[in-house]
Amino acid sequence: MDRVTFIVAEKAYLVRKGIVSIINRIDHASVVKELSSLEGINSVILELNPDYFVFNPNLISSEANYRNFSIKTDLSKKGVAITTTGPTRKGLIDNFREVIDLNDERDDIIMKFKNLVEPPAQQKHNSVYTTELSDREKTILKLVAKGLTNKEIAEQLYLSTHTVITHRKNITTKLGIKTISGLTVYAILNNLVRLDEIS
Amino acid sequence: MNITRDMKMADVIHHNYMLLPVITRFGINLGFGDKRVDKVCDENGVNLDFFLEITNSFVDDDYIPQKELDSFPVSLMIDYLKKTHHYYLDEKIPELEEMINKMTSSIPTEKEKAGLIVNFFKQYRSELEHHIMREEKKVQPYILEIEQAYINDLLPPGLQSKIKAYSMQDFAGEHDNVEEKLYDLKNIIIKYMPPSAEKSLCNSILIELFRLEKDLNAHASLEDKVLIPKVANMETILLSKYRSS
Repeated sequence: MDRVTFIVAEKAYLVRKGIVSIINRIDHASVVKELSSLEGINSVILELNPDYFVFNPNLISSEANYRNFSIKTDLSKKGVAITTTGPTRKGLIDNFREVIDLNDERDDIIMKFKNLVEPPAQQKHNSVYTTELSDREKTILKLVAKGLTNKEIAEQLYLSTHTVITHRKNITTKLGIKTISGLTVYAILNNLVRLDEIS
Repeated sequence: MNITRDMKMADVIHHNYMLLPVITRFGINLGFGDKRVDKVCDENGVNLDFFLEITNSFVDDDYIPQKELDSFPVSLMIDYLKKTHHYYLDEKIPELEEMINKMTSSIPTEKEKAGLIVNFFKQYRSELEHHIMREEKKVQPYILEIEQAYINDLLPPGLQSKIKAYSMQDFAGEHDNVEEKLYDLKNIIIKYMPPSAEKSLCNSILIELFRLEKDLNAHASLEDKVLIPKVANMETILLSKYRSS
């Protein structure tokens, strides 16, 4: 399998080093460039042509800065946002392929990067990502079956909504079931929830 | 291989038996001997070019309509879509429902769980019905109104505000995914349902679901690729004419 490359841009040193170390420990993934600002970013992207660009949207400091940003039209394919506190351009986060939240737990962050390196459907032989649901996914599926929204699930499990959405996508890929009522049927058939728990 | 006017109608069926319900929808009965497609269409009062476009796009997902699909009146297309709806609601769905009831009643253990699948299918049926009702009650009359205005080259003020309030582009946007539930149902039966004693019935249900899915997809693509762009185009022309006058 080809190497999947990342550029990481984040001002906070600890956060940046943490992200870089997680990515570099994932099979077939490597960080080809680390930056603390977006200065000269267009030429770096042009030169290295990374598969993904992981950065903190707060680094986009001005309108002009954003307009000249070469990857802005590519965010839904290649962009990974690191969300920290601070003013973020409104609605920008929704354009990203994936979002890493500062409060994410280790396993969630690893899952998100693994999904980027290899689509969940092809992760069959990986010991962690079989087509079996993980414990976290089972927990989320139970709550989906009970009729909770992504936001409510996020609050209950202390996760970001983005993380819940990523889990939901993985559940759907693994099970081959897309609708909430289909997932509910699955959850009952597999004794994850009881019929009387469904509203 | 494309279906052409000089083929024998019997060979069309041999070429792809999935076309059987399509041919029925055109009001063509079996028993056409060795007659050619054009002859059979002529005898049944079927628009030959329309028949060729429909069957070809049904057989081949990537088929791009060759002929001026624009030359068919929209009402012809709507008539065909209605017949398709009728086929789903009055034939296929009741048939499937009966099969599913029979299948689930022969799951020996866990009656409640079997009930889930029956229920899931009921939900699917009511979503499909809702979708079709909306199309027939709201969308299709609107389309016919647009076509009439286009032919008369006259845009009544009432219709003008209707176009602005609700246009074909919105319809394309909200053309909701009834397919998703069908997809789920297949996987639930294939992968997750407790085994039923009616093995061959299970298989028949799945085969019917796969066929229905194929038919629904062809139906949706006729709407999305042909009907919607055509009506949207009429809307634009009507609006611009009205403004300039």
